[in-house]
Amino acid sequence: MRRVKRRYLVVMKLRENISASEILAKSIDAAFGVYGLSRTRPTSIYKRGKYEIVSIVREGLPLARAALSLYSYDEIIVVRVTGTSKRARRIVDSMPEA
Amino acid sequence: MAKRRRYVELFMGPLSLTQPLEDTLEACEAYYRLCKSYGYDHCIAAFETQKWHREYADLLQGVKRHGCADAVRVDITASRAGDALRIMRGARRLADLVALRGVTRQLVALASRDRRVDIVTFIPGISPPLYGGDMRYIEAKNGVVEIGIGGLATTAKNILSRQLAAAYRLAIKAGKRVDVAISVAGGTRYAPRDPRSLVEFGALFLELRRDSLREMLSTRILQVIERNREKNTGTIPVEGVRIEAGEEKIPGGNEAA
Repeated sequence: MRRVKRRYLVVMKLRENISASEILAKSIDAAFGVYGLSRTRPTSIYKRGKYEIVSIVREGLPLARAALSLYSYDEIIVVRVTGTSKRARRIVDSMPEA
Repeated sequence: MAKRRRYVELFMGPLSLTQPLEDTLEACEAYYRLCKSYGYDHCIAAFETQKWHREYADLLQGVKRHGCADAVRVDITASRAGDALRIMRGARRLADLVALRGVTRQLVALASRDRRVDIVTFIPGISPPLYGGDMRYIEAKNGVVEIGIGGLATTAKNILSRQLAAAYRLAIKAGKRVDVAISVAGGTRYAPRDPRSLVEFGALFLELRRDSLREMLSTRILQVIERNREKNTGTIPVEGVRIEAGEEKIPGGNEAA
């Protein structure tokens, strides 16, 4: 079976007590519906302070970005996109805590 | 290693021309910090105005001197062509970019024909359609068509689909011949969008080419600003003429003259 390649979004949350993956899923659902969700499959893999790593299917990255330009643009910011979770974690850990 | 693209925030604001300079600078700095966190490298402070007063000149010069924005843009939101012309007369030499919001047929015709207008802004659902004749003029003066998506996020779903259809029609028509930019111009409240998200929005919803959009939101707009600065400083006195060095003598030139 072909391995699903993923991208890791380092996301900064602009409000407290929110889940970046849920917000991303909500905005993808609003913009592209179930089709968009099945193409992206956003999953949260790591959280630290106001930063969170969300993993999505590589082919769905343009959909996720386009959805963010219409919805939730003032709730989360995509800081960086990496190809490995290790690199994404290293970026999040290097960020200041506050 | 691939060179990182440096994006330009086309519409940082809107800032008010009627406020005192200190308040404007404070707001400008706050916007600048916000834009930096969204991944922009250059920001253009946008001032919206419907009328022109002489006092506005001092404010624009103050913002340029302070350096809280990389460039200054005046967004003309007048509803009549006469008012728009009056603003252009006052603002053209002070602003790095002049944008005219095409909300009526008359204004779209003026914006596409007048060489002082760099950016013709269209608000989907409000602006009239763009005709082939307008396109020819914009193409000839190397202008930019801008689609403001600021209002799309706040509209109800049934209106959104209509506005998106209008934006799509415009992008398809303009994208064939001139550069199309996407910004939050004309939004009800300011919130910058991640530049890469804007590119993907343009590519997926408006069927614009990704590479040309990226070029537009980074290097192309900086070239327009550079050209305008050269016009203002006199390096380009008229279209097609450029003074390279003022002090050098022309070999074989007439010394007495």
